[in-house]
Amino acid sequence: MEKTVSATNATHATSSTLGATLGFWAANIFLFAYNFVLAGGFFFQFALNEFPCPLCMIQRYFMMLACFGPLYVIINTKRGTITTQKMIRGYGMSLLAALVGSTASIRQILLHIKPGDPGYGSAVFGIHTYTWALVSFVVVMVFSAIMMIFAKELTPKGTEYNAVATINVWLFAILIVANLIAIIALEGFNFLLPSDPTKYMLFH
Amino acid sequence: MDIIIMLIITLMFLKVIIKGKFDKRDFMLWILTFVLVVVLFKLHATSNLNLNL
Repeated sequence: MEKTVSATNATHATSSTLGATLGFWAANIFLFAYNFVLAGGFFFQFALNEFPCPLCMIQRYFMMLACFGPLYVIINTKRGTITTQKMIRGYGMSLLAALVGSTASIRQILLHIKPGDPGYGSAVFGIHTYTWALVSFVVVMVFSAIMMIFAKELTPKGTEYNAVATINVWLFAILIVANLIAIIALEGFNFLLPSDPTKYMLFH
Repeated sequence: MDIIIMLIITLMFLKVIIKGKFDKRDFMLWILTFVLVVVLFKLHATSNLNLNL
């Protein structure tokens, strides 16, 4: 009887450790995926010389705000203060940012939905970047919902933090600072971005 | 306004990284940034179409 109880406890411990590791890596994958998307935005801006429109920038802000969810989980894991409640709060932030961010993407899709409209900027695999942004927001909403449903099982234990997470966080830092510099150059001394930017206002 | 939003996001991030924790004040700052982005969205996405909802 005692052997059966200890075997069950061992199985629970293994599955909870696996869940905690999975939860931590899920937060890292989320942050890395949006790092990739934000870096892709810079590729369009600087390599293809396509200026981001105001709605594009708004979608980037919502992506950055959504990233604060997994960042909250990663930071608390590093400190060893992560709890299920904090995990839910983090993904709640992501869910809210993705929900409102998706309305900005839908708005931009609707602006160019008329047949014959070439859309704004280049397309990737036949789909414009703002439509990809909507796809990313929907994925984040589904992902965050799953993380919240299984928050108890997926809460990291506080021992999972590693160098990969540090690199991921600093990559996010570089992208935030780069976005700040880019928006200063793009907006210049104006209060709002022009609806169809064609130059860096700071230098004109 | 975009510059103000990006400045707040950058400061909030740096604060979190340097302190190594995300407390209630940072959470309030996140909400403030969120509201500012929603206001910016409203400023850019106001339609003159007489839509019937």
